Amino acid sequence: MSSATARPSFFEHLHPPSIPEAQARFRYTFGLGGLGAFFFLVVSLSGALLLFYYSPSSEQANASIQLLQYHVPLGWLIRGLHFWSGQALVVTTGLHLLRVALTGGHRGRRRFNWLLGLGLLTLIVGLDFSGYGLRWDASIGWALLVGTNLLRQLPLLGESLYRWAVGGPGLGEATVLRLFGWHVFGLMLPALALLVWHVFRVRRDGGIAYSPDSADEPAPRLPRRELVQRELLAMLLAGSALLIVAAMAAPALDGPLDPAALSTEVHAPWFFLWIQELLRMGDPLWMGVALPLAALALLMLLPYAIDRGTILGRWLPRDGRPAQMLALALALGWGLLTLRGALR
Amino acid sequence: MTASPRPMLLAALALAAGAALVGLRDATPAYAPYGSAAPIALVPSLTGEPEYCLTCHDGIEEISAAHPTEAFGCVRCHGGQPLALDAETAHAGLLGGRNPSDFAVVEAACGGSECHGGTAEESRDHIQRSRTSLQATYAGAIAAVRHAFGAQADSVAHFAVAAVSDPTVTSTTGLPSLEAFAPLAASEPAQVQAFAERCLTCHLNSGAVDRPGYQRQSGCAACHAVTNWEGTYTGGDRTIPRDEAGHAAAHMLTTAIPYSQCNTCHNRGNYSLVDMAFHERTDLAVDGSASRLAAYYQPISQFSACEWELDCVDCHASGEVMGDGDLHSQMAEVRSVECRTCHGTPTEAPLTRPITDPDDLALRQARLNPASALQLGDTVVVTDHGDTLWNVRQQLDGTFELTSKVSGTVYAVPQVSGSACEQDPQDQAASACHECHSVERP
Amino acid sequence: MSAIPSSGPDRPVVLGRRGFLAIATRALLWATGGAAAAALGRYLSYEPPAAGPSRFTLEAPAAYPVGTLTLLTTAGAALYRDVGGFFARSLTCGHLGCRVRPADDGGFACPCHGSRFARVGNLVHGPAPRDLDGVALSLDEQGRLVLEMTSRVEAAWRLSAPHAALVDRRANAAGSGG
Repeated sequence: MSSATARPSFFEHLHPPSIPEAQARFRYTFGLGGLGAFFFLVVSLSGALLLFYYSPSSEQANASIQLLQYHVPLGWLIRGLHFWSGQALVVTTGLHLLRVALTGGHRGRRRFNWLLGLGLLTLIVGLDFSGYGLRWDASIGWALLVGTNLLRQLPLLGESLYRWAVGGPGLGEATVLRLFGWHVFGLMLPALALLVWHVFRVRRDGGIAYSPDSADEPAPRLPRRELVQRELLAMLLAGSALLIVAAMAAPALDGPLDPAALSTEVHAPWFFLWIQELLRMGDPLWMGVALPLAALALLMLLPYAIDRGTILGRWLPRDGRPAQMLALALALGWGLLTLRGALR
Repeated sequence: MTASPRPMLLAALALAAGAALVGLRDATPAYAPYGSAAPIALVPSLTGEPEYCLTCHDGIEEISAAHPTEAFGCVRCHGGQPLALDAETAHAGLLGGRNPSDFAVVEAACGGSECHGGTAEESRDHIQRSRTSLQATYAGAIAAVRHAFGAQADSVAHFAVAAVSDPTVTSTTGLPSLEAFAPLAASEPAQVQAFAERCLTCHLNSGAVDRPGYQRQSGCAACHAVTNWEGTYTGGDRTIPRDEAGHAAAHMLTTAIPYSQCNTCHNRGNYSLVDMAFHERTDLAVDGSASRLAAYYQPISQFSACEWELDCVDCHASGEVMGDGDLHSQMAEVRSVECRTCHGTPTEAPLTRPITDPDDLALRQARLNPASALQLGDTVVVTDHGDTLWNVRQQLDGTFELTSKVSGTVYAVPQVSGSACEQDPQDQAASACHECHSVERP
Repeated sequence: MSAIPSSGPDRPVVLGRRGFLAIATRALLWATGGAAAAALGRYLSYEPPAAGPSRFTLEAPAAYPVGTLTLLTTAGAALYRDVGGFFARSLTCGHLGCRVRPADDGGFACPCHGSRFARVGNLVHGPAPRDLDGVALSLDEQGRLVLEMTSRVEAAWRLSAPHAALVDRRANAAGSGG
């Protein structure tokens, strides 16, 4: 590695010359934001590679995935990496949201960045769902039908959103191509833009929210060279974990979907099990649309109307109980509903 | 922490380990246990699309000469995913599990107007014939039991094991439809319910009793896929265990069906209406080693030499066994072959017809059998109902010759006319012939 | 890091343990990266098996009298019969792969860059480097001609006429049965 007097590399230059050491404590952030960015990178690169073989037509979609899974050299790996990094991204984003909520990292000038993060979460879940649908196999038929029909339930915009998503009056030939357009470009580009903006805002807002250990001495700082080393370390470990998981567990693949003859397997993808459970309880408009949107609205209001504290850089600060209760309650609710759905 | 190179080394090791694991997984694909080093592609001329089934199933027999593998491939009949290389994905969408001729899926697998179903002539729609035949509907047994115990006043069939209808009724005894037999209905007498619980296994819509001697498949394969006594597979496909019951002996369809295949249902014993139980025959060795003469018929039967030296299909041709396309109430309505069909009577020669149409069904059936030398212009024997026994040909000198469909042995068929036979021409029942011609069992 | 001079006469020859670990780390990462690059190359090199048939079954030899040229558009070939027997030419131009078309003079012209070929495929002029390729023919069990588009035969190759003529006679004797 270069000595202290060498000129900084490109990657080092992407960081501030140094950051307060307090911001880099693993037990404070668990590196979730950075991990999210890494998984975003892996999912994008693997997705780009999949573009060379995936065919977004309803006749060829499933067959092209079978070609990738069984015949293209290491195609199974690229598909596995894409799937697992995608799911890891959803999990990491959710955990990162929880961490920020429970440490007050959304306070003060960071309030807007919280909204950007929420936007990212929504787009990422949308990317996961559209990617799921691109498999176009018998096991996703019901999920696709229900998910797209839920869109219809939205007042005013519902029918238009449905047509934009599905490309016709129902699931059919045009749907795969539409989902592909949304997945690769329509949702991807805004997600990338939001991600860049989100990271920029982190820097502009003063980096990761922290509180100095003592006010008198200057806080110890971490030079960017070490910071980059740590990030590289984290990426290597996360990358290894992805490779190991991809080698041991392949994402499922069923026969081609026939929208006219949906199979009897009725279950949502894991990240929507909570919505499926809600839908069992009542009216689709209230349970499937209004309730989730209300949860999202509450989260959006969290730093503006719910949280009134000022303490930064601590886990579970005393002045943040309302926001913490809300975040934990929503997380618990999501978790219980998901568990219930999974155990059926 | 920032100075020590150890964490980076460990992380680099972890990445290398991950890469090594990926390499290991890449080198051990799901089909490796079956011996193939690389995927084996088969491009059938019917579809032009590659199928990789043989990667695991290499060594499996060609299903029949009439369904050449290089023309049909596997997916056309079996369904499934042609490109997949692991069992779970490859078998998604498989029709009927290991038997695509099971009646639940036979239309999709074997049907179509260019294949075995859907043609206007009922004699060519083998699927419709089989599904309406008594062997599939079991209507005769159901009607007889219900009639015996007062559940119905007549012995005309009203129920079948599965609901079935036939819009085109061509025979006088044909029925337009049969409802599904619902034995649990409270209106059925107790004996009929007992019958349903214990005796509804010997028909084409069901699988076999899982015991040696009864081993057969369902659907078309019940007759056309020959099984052995234990029901084990003895062919070349490495994915099929050798010691597991429930398989045909080989992945092959045949029309040269030996008597042992019929005996997976027939000649296994007798029903008793008294205790509504099936009493298995007890004279056979449990390992299936009994001789042909001993095994063929039950101890109470009377039979002549040709009835045990020939196979069932030599006389009971497809018109009888697979039905005429109509729903019938009793076997007697479809059975038309008698001793005199081939042997004639003192005053009448056997009924015959010449084969003049190159597209004659009899010619097609004969071509499937390597022992047959049937040609356009030959004269063959027919029954009263018009069923053709294409393996019984009249020679130029007027004599008759039978070629066994299974063994290929050629027999001269002795004629009653001009012989010392003392029969009463009015009594053509088999029992009358057996009075003199029955064979002693060992 | 201990103060190891990076240059000059005092630079020690022996690496410390830390130096070794650092080099080992780099080596591992480069090796893994190399494997990844190789894997990427393999991944991108895959080509799916050629879709569509390359064997085409035509009619019995009797259907093509001596001296005729039959254009087979599905297969992309031209079938000829002369006194020597049957032969076929691929209609794919040897320049950059366009499909040649019949020209007014009885030969073929390539619409892409103007290559011209004679009636039996010889190159007349044009950027194409060679004549139209000869393609092999055979007979199937029912006596029909079969074109094998992936084969290459030389210009003088023929499916001999006596062989084909024998099949002609058999086909005529059996009538429509075949």
